[in-house]
Amino acid sequence: MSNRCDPELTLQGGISICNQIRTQIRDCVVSGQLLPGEQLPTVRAMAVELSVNPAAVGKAYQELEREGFLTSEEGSGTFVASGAPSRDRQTEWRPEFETICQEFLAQAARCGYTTGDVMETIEALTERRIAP
Amino acid sequence: MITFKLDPKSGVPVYRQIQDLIRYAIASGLLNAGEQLPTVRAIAVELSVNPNTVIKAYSELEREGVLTTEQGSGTFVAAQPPIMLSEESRQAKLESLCLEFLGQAARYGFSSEDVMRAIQALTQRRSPL
Repeated sequence: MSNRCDPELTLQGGISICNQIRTQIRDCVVSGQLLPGEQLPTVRAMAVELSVNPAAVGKAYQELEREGFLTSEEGSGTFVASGAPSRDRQTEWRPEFETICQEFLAQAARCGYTTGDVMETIEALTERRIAP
Repeated sequence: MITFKLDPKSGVPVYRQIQDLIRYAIASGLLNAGEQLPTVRAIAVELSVNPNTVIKAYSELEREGVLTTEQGSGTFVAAQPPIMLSEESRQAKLESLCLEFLGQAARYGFSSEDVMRAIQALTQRRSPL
């Protein structure tokens, strides 16, 4: 129930540390690299490993809890939530997924951002050592 | 006058969509400094949303100094609206838009990579001019 798993995160400058941690942990959960019930490193350990302010990690964990990806148990740590979203959910949404992405690009465009801007930002948020 | 059009499937809260539209209208010159906005009631009726949603959008923009309300006469674009002109806040806004969208996708089991692939596919399909 409580395997320790260290998600491998890579951070880069110019973009909020907390948001990068949020995005990358979300991706680990969704892709099954982190499974429900798995324990995450403590805020302190993660902060030391990434050389960042513990407050950024704490805030990221809090937001992920609020979104239902993580849960924390007083005194024992932070875990991947048992009902955390995973790839199984895709079926509900798959037919619409491209359309929804398209609508998102349209919304970004209305706010004055190009598709290139959006791609760059998503890349920056998810920057990670993964095979191309 | 600006036209309000919502995207019911975007997952972005309605009040945020209204704010985005107003900000964009100001930034792009569709709405000028001092210009009057439609009343809360008019927008609520036009978009078939709860007036409180419109009030929320307006009052947050007021707090940010984008709009001003004059008791009894209506809501106006501020004389000098602080519309995201700095590159830094532009980037921050884009970052939160993307973060929110990626979160929505993740709740349905799609990773950021899936989103990137979908966007890439969409861009490639668009025929070159």
